[in-house]
Amino acid sequence: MDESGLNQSSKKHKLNEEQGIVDGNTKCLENLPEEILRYIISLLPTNDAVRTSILCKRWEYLWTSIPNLGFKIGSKAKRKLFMNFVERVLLLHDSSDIKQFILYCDVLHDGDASRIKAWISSAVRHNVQELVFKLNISEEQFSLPHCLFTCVTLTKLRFYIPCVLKLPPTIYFTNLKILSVRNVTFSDDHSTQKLFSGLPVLEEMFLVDCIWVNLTAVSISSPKLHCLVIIDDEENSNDEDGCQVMIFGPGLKTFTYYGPLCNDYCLYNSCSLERVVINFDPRKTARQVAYRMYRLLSGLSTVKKLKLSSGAVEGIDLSVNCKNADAILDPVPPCFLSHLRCIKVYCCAEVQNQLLHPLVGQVLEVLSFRFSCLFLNLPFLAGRLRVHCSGITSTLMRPEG
Amino acid sequence: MANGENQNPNPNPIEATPGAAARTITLKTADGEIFEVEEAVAMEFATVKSFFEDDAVSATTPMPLPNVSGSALSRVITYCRRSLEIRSKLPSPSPAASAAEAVGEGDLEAEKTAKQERKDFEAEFLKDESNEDVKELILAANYLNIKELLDFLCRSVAVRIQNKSVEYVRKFFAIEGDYTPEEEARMREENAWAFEGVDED
Repeated sequence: MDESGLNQSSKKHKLNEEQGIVDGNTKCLENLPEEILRYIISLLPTNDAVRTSILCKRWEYLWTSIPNLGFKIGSKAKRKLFMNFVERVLLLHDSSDIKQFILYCDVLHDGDASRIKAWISSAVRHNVQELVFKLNISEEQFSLPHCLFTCVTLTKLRFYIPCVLKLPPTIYFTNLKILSVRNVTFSDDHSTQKLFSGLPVLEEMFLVDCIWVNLTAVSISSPKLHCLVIIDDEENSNDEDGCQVMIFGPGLKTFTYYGPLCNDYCLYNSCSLERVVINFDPRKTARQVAYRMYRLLSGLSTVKKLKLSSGAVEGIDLSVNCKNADAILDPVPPCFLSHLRCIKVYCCAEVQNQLLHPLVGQVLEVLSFRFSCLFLNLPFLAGRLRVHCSGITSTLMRPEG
Repeated sequence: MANGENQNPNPNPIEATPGAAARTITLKTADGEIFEVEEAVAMEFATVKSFFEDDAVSATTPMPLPNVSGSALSRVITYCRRSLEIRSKLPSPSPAASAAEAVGEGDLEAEKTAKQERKDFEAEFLKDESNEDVKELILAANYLNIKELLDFLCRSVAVRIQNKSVEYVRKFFAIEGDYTPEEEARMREENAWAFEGVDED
């Protein structure tokens, strides 16, 4: 059992206590102590928990201490019922902490927005630890209550807000460990930088399908960040210069990127980085993109495992070709010379041949630069490679060391 | 049993002194059944533990359990035995090392295995039990004050009443509704959203 729950219920049972001596009533759960009933209710989804108020008068307010509140709107026809329900639950909730607050709903007009902000504020005032919102906004911009951005108890924050998110002047998440931002349009360099700078203990960050067009340069530099995932949507990429995203991750262990490299992502000081996945689909192959690919690879100094999509392989190839005519990564990104033990390439069946040929040529160059192991999950190529790089590695799937 | 033994702060009875395994405690259920239970298992029951911690109580005295039936107790013992077994496979945290250092790769693996084992065992444990049996067990676990079992049973009860109608839950808990029909209708209206998509009985 976790830290909450029944701890408070462990009162000593005395044998001489005249409680519920066996009679016809043994199986009447009404005899259970109130804290156990509350605990059972707290394990139910919010709707079920609130429904227990109708069982009988004794149960009317038992649910009001539930720590986890989840509200997801189903059909739009019942919208009014839903909104009233959320409000009622928050109003009746007692002063005990709200551990988790999940809200999925539509924001149709200003009235909705202010109600929803009040709900979020209410959760913050109840020392919320985990917040999850999926707000379908019809307006062009939205803001969250300012108190959220300095919430001391918050450890996990995930939101999907598909519009411009206006941020407050002060942002400092003392205890936030996980941040997931989806479909948000960042409004400007200054406020976005404030957000990225106000995360002193952040460990995991997910930036998914965000729109960066309003930004020119930001940096991500949480000292404890160990997992960073950035996913860019092809449609949101701007053809212009893109944003320069500088990632200072002294504690970063894994970095995952999916998307068209519409921004210039660069890793600095990433001396703990071990695993990198680059899933890059260069439909618009351009010099610019190839250069970004090269820059990204250059920041990977200590990577041991690199997983590349066929597009990313093509990106390497392009970056090589536009770098110099000799088709060598020059200077070779540092990980290729020192730490890299495993490259994994995954390809679509149809294109793999054409795409891998240049890679194999390329990798062989690199192999001669001290690869201790090369892993390609393509048996037809394996034979070929062995011929070319015998003497360096006899087996193509060899673990590190 | 020596009282010094009882005051031993060691919370893990499996690691008790050699010979402890041989010791048993006698429990007498409401329906007069006598159970000889290994001390390690019986000490999982906080109620039994505090009974024997009382200086005046001799270890050989059979402890009466006026709230627990023989059938429930035998299930409770089965659960606690297995639970102890699973727990004993976990690496015991060494007090010297700091909490962070104590958790190595192997320890994490052991923890994962133990967790899965517990999950499988618990899933099996109540599979064929009726609601009535679960209720009897939860009352027994509450009376005997076995935190782990009580937590597991609460979770099981929550699963059994989830998405069920008010009538079903009333029946489950043996609750008599004491609202007037008007009051109840009003409450249903106030919480209308909570009644969306409830299972048919």
